[in-house]
Amino acid sequence: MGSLTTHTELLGRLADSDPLAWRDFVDRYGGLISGFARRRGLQDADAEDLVQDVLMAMVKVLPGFQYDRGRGSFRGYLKTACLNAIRRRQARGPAATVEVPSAVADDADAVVQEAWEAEWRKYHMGLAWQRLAGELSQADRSAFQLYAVEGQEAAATAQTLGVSVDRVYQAKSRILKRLSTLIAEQVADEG
Amino acid sequence: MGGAGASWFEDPAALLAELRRSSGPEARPSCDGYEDLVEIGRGGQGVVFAATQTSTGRRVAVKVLPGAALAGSSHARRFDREVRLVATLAHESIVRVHDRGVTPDGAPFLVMELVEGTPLDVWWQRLRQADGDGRLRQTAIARLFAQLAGALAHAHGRGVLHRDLKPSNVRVDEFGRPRILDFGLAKGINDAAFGLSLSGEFLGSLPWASPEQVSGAPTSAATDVYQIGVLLYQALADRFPYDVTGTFREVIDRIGAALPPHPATLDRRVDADLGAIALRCLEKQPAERYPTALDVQRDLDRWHRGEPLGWGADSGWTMVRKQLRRHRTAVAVTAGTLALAIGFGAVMTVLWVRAANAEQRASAELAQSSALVTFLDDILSAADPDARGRDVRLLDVTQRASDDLAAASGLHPATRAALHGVLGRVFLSLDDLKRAGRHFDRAVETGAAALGAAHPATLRARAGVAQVAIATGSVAAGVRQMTACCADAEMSLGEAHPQTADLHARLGGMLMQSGRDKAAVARLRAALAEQTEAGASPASLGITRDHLAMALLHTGDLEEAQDLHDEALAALDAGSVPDPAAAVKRLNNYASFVHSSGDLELAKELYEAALARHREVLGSDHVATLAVLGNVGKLLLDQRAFAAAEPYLREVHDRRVRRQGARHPAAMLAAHNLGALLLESGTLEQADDVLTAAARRRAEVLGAEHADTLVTKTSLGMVRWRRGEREQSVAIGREVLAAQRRRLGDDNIDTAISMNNLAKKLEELGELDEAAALYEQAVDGGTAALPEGHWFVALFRSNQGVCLRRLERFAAAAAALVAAIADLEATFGAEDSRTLQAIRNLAEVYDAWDRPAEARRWRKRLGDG
Repeated sequence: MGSLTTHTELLGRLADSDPLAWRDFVDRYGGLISGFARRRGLQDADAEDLVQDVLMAMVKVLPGFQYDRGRGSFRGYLKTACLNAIRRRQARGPAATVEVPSAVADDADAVVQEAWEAEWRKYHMGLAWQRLAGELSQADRSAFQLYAVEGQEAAATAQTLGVSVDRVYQAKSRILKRLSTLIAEQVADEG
Repeated sequence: MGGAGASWFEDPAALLAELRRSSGPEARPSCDGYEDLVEIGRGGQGVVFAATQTSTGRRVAVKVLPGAALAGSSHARRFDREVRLVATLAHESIVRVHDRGVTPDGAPFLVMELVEGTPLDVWWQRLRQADGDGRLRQTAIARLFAQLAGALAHAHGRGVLHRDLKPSNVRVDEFGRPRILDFGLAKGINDAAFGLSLSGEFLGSLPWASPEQVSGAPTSAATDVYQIGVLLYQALADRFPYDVTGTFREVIDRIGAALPPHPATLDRRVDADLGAIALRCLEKQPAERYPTALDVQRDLDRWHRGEPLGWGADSGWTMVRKQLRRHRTAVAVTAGTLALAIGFGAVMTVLWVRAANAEQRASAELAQSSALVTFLDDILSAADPDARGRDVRLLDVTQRASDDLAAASGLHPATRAALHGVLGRVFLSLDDLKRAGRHFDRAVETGAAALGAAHPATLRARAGVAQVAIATGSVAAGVRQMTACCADAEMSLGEAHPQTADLHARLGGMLMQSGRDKAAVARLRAALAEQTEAGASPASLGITRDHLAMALLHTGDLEEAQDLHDEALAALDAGSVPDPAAAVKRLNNYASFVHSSGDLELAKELYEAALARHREVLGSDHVATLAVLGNVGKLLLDQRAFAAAEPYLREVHDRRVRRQGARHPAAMLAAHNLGALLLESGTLEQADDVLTAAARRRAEVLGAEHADTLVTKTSLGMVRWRRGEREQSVAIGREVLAAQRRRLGDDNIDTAISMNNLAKKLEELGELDEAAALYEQAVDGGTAALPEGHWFVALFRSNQGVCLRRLERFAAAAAALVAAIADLEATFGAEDSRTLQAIRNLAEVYDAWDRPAEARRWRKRLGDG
């Protein structure tokens, strides 16, 4: 845990047609894509299928794909691919293939943007937490959950867990700081 | 990151808000009974947490479905299936399921054993580093894979396939045991084909996918065998069996077509036999692989003990491939020499051309042998006498083919087995059961040795053996053989496979022939669904429908039987049954259905039409024509036109005995019918002789308690009664009833009829108490077995009423008769003789009861005062 294949590495492996990278890609972006699709009104099963549509599109284009930050963010690129896939699916039912956007266009629709942002934040949060989980002791993890996330009293939390109140406070600030750093890293990596 | 959310992660408050809002993976789901959930993995199907079971302190793994798993969604259904399936497995190498539940958010979760262990690929890498010369490593690999195969065999035996075996799904625990995780893609063997759904997980698992998975063909236990092969190959050779880099399409093509080199050619330390086990798992055609995971385990165990491998001769395909490999080596050497002289580009061309030639030659040989089989199959199974009549020259041809095959040497065992199977089927359709049996036996013997007992070709031959057993009257043995055959087909081909469906249908037909109608209905119903799904031919669907309709008729489900026949006839009208013989047979089946359901006039018309068509298409001497003749005779018998029936029934009987022998089931039926005719027409002495012989033969051939045997005994009992041998008749009646109670239970219409018949005899002999008790049982049994208000039960009640009157139990007698009259009137009308007889009986009850007013009131309804 903690160590992470960076996003750029992953794209590189996909571009090199490393099939094992596909699984990583699914693990990493599958939830994001299907979550976005659900927010855009797709049924559960369709949302799952959409992951395939988008991945197939990526798989098709990625070998030989030169990732060029100058052309726009991967995030925008993926969003456009998702939107295209959703449009196709909504227009024609299940689609075997999806066109990959040749250029990254920003969708002006604020609702879409909001949905995408929400899923994107959720995705980064999940990823960061997954990376962080391995670094934490059980007590710190529990203290953070009870006190910071669930809003219990610090003293009560300390008593429940059999740790000092200071440690509860420290857990909260340390973990928030780590999350912030990790997400900043991820965002920077993604370009 | 641009836009409004640019710094959400820099502000602790925003971060916390996001953490709470997204309630994503970081928020621990609340799983009742479990605490301290810590995420340890996630995939397309869900998030896995390590947790502690509150009540026991036991450490477990909890798998929760992602997102809002709505009830009834495909995810939830898949999850449910996973739970149901995996919970049926109990094997030390399969991760155990402890519990399941639903979070307050409605997300289902599954609680499993927490496995701490090393992923399989990490395990084999460590082995590789630890063991320089490789011998110990291979021993460890063989042992571990044998356990793995054993675990899969266990799952397959319970109808569960894994279909997503890959290193991350197999952990090696601290004791060195493999533990299989994530039966998430596992599906019941019953489920429809996996198809190429290209789900995210599937993409991730592509390098381990089997040819049938990437081509969208049905998966089966052989799919798991293939995946064991990929893993074993990787463990031995430290690489995939084929290149799994490149575009998706390229990888799929290679999975479908690229022949893996023997691992020993990549690493000389790899044992040739161990590598061969992996290659056998990796055969492209499922039927060419080990038939079951158990066979993989056995061979790995044999290798481990240093014994020769058990799968016998190479399959034809393996031989071809070995030859190819030799050619390739030769080509490579030549190419190496040439490379020095001419340069790279030219070498590549030469290499390609030579390899292509070798491949062409090899596939030409293969094509030749399969063309031979196809040719024989086509020519010889066209000999089906149902289609063209029994042709003497054809029999000669077949016999010659049979002799040729016996004399031929150097045939590949698989080819030999296939040819014996073909000849067995031809002789079976020519009704030459002895020769058919011999060929099927040889086919099974050769096939089992060369291809395995569960190979499709061997299975087909085994079904033939069972069919011959049934046709010669060894019904129980036939059913037993067929049941085993089906079980093996389910294992090796999967339940969705057309051949499995076909075997199920045949088993259903056999169950019906053995008198197990309920089991037959269930079997046939399932088979019909399977065959429909597998896209079986209209002809085989028609046969299954006919069998099902007949079995339903036996169990009394007339309406459904009628529907099936209507469907079958509609298909016939629509011309979807191209085979004229099948169409003609269908006509006879339908007529006999109408016959059994009671419409004798319509049945007679239909039989006459069927008879004319049979004579036209099949000829007068054909067994199927004889069957129709017999049916016509039986119908005339039912119409009590004894004089008209006799010549038909005698002719059928004599011909059948001459052609098929007196012990053939059809000849025995003919004897029974003839005996029944003689009984009905009052020719009692002859009837006694014929039925005594028929009952004895049926008991010998079918068994003393077989339904047909009991029917003949019942008729014999009637003959004895009419001849005045009443004690003997009652004894026979008791014997038949006892057998039916054992075989069919009390709530069965046949049993109830026997109760009624025996009660009637006992009543006449003055055994009134026993008779009354039997009538009551007959009423109960009939009520349970038949639709409400059925006239059979009304007749039982009418008889019961008379008996009760004689016992002076007047109130009960009157009640029975009143109920009987109501049902008889509703069925036949107020003027029917059966209704009137019951009214007469009731009036007599009131006479004896000394209630003259009631008696008078009922007598008025008789009309004659």
